[in-house]
Amino acid sequence: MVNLAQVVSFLTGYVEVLVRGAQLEKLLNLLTNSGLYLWDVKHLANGVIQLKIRSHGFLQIRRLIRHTHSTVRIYRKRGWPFIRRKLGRRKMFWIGAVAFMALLFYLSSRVLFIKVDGFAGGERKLLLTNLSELGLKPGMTRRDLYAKKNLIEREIMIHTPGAVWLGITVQGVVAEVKVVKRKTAPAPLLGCDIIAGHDGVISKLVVVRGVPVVKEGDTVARGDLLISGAEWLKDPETDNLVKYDVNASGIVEAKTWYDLEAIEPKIVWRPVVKTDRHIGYKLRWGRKLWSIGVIGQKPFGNYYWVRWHRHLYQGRNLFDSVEIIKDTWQAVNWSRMVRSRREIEDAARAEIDSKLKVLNISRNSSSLTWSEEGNFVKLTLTCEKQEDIAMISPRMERGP
Amino acid sequence: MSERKRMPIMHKLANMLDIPLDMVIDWPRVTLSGNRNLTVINHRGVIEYDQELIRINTRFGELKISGTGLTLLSALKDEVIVEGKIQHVELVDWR
Repeated sequence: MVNLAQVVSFLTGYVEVLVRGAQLEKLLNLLTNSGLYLWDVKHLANGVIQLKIRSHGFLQIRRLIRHTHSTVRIYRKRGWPFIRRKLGRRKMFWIGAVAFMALLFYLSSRVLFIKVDGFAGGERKLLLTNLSELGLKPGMTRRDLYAKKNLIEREIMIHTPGAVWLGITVQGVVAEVKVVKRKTAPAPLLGCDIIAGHDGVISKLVVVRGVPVVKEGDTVARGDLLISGAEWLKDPETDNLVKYDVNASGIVEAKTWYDLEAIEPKIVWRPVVKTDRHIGYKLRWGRKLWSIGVIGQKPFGNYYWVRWHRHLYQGRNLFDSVEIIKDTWQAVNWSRMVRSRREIEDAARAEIDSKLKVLNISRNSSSLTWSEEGNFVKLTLTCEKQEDIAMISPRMERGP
Repeated sequence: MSERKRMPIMHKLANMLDIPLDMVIDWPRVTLSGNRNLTVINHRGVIEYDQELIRINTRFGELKISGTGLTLLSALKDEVIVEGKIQHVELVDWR
């Protein structure tokens, strides 16, 4: 570990010395009592130690060395003064270092690369040429680029009609040009018909564009043409009929009918709950599952299984949520039961109601039909709905 | 002479003010960190030093440290830090 004393020693310079003599302990005490700082004192052999001492302290120990009849030899010189002296003799090193720094400073003050984001291929080449004409090219100083940035952005937008936005940012020696490409809307579909999306009787017809093929009161089937996108106009010069393709549009409302069915069995198998029950509690954390405890014996034979689980507070942790799980295995006896007529009807009506809800149809204009097929009761509901049946379709080829 | 009379005035003062004695009087303080590092403050010189035994003189007697690979990590006028695998620390002839 480097402490402050060692940092100071490095800055002032220190030497590693080998001391030989018979009274080394005496020498150590004399040195420390003289106020000198010694560190990393190692005993190498009998009568030989290695120690580190600051360079100015080394000059003072000569007298003490003589006093203890020891010999000292510098093993290594360390620290900034010695490094500086060593480097001072290497003139070419300093010239190279200065040249390197100057080159680094010169190169880092210029734009060396231009990165284009958003354009590719020919558009990119054209953009780079235009940028080069405006002054943004490899070698341009960063200072100039900062000064002309707004001007270049403004001018390049005029020269690049394919861009809707353009921005230049400088990151180190890279000028990054971000372009947002102009997106043009796809060409409009020319020529389309309106066809029937459902069977029904037309109750309302409003044509915005195109030629109506049906009228109110007509019965149409799914796929029948309702409004044609082909307009045939007479040429005043030649009296010939000329066809024009248009996008047919309009509102076609019709009365439509839906048949909904619900089938319910007369006989069902129902579980009769017994006293045997097995409950298992588990804790889940992410993909790991731990069993916390169990109650009762797991039933054999007939049983049903129910799982209840609840998430603990999730916080910002979306993936490794903690969850408590309760599994219940309930022993049952299955018994054959005949359902009452009322129960069957209620179940069928509930199923029909759920289907009506999905189709968004009210039960006001509907008729119910009950029928029996073996052990099953079938409820059929025919209901009427007023809806827009117009559907866009590619234009059909028809004569005038 | 009673024990009370022999107690120096600084010692009495330190006891009265509840100050650690080594803060007031130059009593040696020995700090052992694990079995790797031992610091002796207020020592009175190194008597013997090699890799397996270091003897340090203090005001009250000799402190004998034995172990393997012992080095003097730092040596100052009043502080010595010994590093190495310390196996035994003994107070020899302390009064």
